[in-house]
Amino acid sequence: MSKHSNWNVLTQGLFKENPVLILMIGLCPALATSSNANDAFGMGVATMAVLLASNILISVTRKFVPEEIRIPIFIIVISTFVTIVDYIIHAYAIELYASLGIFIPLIVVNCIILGRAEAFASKNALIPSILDALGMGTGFILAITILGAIRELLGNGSISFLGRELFNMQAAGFKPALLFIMPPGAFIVLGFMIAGVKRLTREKGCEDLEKKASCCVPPSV
Amino acid sequence: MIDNGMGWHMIFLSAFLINNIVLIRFLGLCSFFGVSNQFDTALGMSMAVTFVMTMASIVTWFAWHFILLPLHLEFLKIALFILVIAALVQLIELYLKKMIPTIYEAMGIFLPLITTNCAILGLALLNIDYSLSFFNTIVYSLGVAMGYSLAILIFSGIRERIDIAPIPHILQGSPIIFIMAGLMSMIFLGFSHLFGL
Amino acid sequence: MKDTLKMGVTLAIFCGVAAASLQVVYSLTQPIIDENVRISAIKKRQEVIPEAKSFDPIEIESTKLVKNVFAGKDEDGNTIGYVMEITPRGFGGEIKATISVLPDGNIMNLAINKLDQQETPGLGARIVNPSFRESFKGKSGDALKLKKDGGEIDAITSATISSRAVSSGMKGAWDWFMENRASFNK
Repeated sequence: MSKHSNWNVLTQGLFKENPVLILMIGLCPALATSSNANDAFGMGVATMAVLLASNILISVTRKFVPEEIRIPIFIIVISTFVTIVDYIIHAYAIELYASLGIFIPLIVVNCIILGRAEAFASKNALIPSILDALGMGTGFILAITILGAIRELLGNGSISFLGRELFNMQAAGFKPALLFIMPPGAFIVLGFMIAGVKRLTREKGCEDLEKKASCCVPPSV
Repeated sequence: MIDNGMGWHMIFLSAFLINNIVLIRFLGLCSFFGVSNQFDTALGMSMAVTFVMTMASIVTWFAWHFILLPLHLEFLKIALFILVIAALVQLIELYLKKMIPTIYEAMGIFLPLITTNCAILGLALLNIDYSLSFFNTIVYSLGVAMGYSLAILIFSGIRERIDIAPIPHILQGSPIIFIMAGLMSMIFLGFSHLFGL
Repeated sequence: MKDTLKMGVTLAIFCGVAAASLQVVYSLTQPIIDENVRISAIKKRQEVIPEAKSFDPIEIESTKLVKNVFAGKDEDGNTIGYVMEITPRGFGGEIKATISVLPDGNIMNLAINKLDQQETPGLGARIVNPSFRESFKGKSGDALKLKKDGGEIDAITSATISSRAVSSGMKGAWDWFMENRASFNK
């Protein structure tokens, strides 16, 4: 692992190992909370906050934690941070809280976080673990926000960000295709986004979806 | 979307078709895409999910109403639920391995996958959010689990066909699978006005 | 044996720290959350009767639809109108609407905001739009029903279920108000 330069660690989550578009993990929140760019970005930031905090704590404590009980400890650490994020969003961003609903507590089972804890933070020093969380987190935010923006643009003719609507084409007579902000639109837009990424990277990489999705296999508790 | 006043058959239908957990509510997608490549594996997974989902809903319902609520420890909900589910999955796995090896063979390998299946934890949280009664919790969980099974079984059938279908190069692999899921989701969306809900 | 002990201790430490920090966060944020709920309820009362200076709760037996009733009073203590908090069932669960009624029974205002409903975004969720909410103003009785049901309210395109939920909720609340208003002025 020490072969990774810090720069590589930071950038690989952005594109080469983008959690949503390449690794295909964390799909549930990515599809469910992306009916507009604003909620999608909020979900991304919440996930990254948990990822960063858990990576830091797990990396710092990696030498004291016995190998056999590391998974229960990861789960405790992650669920604690998720609960904290849940309460903070509820207290300070009530609208976001209402739109994200149960997907905030469900960050706990987001494979990205447990996956990075197990594969990276528990084996690496503090600084690379922070960079890893920042890279993966930004990759997740990017993917989910772009997905949200496309869906909102096609389905509602607008793009909203940080609680404000930046513009709305419905005023100019644009007839939105509601399908895109409804559940089917999420699958279809993500499908085309993955096809686009495949074209850009000219990789055949995504074929073994089964193997990649199986990152969800928790190492036995 | 669900409450105790709806009557059990409406709760069941809503969970089973109208608000299908996978295609409308977006829960359990990892396993939905991960193991739907063959009908047989999909069948094993849906059996395992149905079993664990119902058990987990019952156990978390008791944990919430008899431990967390009386002791005012609501903030331990997420941590306790995920640990309870993880422990439950382990127990079920051990029990089946020892006592009923035939069932273990059919769905055993899927059990470890289930701890991080967000449909299980999601359902446990939804039961609490809707403050469902004990009976309705069981009805709702069964409905959700059967909805999951229905979606994944149909989907695995389609995917077996897709493997031999001519598909534009750019969409081969996962893109076409997502688009198929979108089309299925559209079909399930059609159920929403079926029962005048 | 030593290993088991170490594992137990580590696990206990993590659980203890986790529970303690959650307790702290909970006690810090819960008052803010409760306060937000209180403030938003007050704001909605002011939204439906902007002229009122105070809102006196009226004791009622809450029904499935009507949850709370307040008398909106001006500076001199005269009742301008009544605020009712009602919860009709929409497509995606309960809708928490706040309405105001003039003492003579005409609807003054209807407030539903984004947080009060879980209808489908882009479809049923348009019940929060002012154009729909304002169509109830000044109406009473059967006029509160949708045009399809013999009333005067235009349903939102492709969101009949949500529109009907609101309008029949309004009608139900109005019926309840007319039945019970005699007991308000005690």
